[in-house]
Amino acid sequence: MSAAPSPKPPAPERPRPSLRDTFREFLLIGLTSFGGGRSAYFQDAFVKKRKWVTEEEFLEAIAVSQILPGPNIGNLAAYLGQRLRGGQGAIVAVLCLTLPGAISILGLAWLYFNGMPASVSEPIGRGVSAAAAGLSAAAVWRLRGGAANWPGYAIVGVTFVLFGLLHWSIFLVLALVLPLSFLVARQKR
Amino acid sequence: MSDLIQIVLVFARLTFVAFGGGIGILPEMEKLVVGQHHWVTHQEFVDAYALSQVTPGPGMLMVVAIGFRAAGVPGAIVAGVAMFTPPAALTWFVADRWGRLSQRPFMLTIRATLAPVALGLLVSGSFTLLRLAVDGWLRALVAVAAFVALATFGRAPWQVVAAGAVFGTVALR
Repeated sequence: MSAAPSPKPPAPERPRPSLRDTFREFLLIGLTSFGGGRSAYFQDAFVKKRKWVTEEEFLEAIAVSQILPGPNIGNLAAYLGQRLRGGQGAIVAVLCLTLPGAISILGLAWLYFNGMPASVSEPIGRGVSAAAAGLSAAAVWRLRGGAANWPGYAIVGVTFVLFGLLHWSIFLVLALVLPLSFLVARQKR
Repeated sequence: MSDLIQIVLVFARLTFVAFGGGIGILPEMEKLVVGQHHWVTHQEFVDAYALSQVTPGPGMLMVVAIGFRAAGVPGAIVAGVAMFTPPAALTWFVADRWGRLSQRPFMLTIRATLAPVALGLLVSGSFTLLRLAVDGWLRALVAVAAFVALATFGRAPWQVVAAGAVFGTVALR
């Protein structure tokens, strides 16, 4: 692959993936990411398998895609696509992520509104969502290094209690934990 | 035509209040699509969510099923586009600006600031999924097996979920 001359210097040490490989990875996720916890698929493909982004960059992508409005996973695809291959990458990423599922759900919706009982899919859905929940926990486990030290784990804990358990609005949670986390991050350097 | 415009308005507005995950807007979405516009019944709304659990891709693709019920295939298309395109464009823009700063030294601190917070958000999401999906010891077993398959044995996520689907069909009826 010969790179066209670019006004921006490329990121050091890591090669930029080709558009074709970017397409392939996002399409694989779009075709196979069933049942919630989809960030596990992204972590597995981009951090573990391809090593196109580091653990910290991935967590940064997660943070930005959750802070911005909209479906998180669509945002995560747009973010990673942009970072890997610019504007083209973002378009490819979002289309590959959403089109296979959109076509499948359209087909199922057609069957459903023509009399197929939704209960047909229930046992499959139970197995899928339980497995997907386990996958999401495994992705968290793999990314645990992002906390780095005990104050970092305390930030993780506070964020979880406020957002996951007490269901505070994400803005209140961020207003409280981001300054704390910033102080911890400054100490570390 | 006016139906399509209504669909765009409803979902484009919903997507901009979806902070920290799509699940949070489900009550508001139900109010609009069931209570106000009568595009689907309550049961159809719940079933549309169930369909999104057995199809790949983002769960918010359930809006495609709702749009389809409201206005056929054109309705399905505009619902999906209204839900995903505006926030994706915004994220693309932010990622582009953000990327230009990434070589600056202070970005190391920003990254280290965001990492534990992102991890906390992921833990929250995972906890919600576990709470919703793990009902009874058989399903807990599936979740634990999935965790081990990915974290310890490094199996591909799709293999793990496929195994869960097969197990569900056989043992979770």
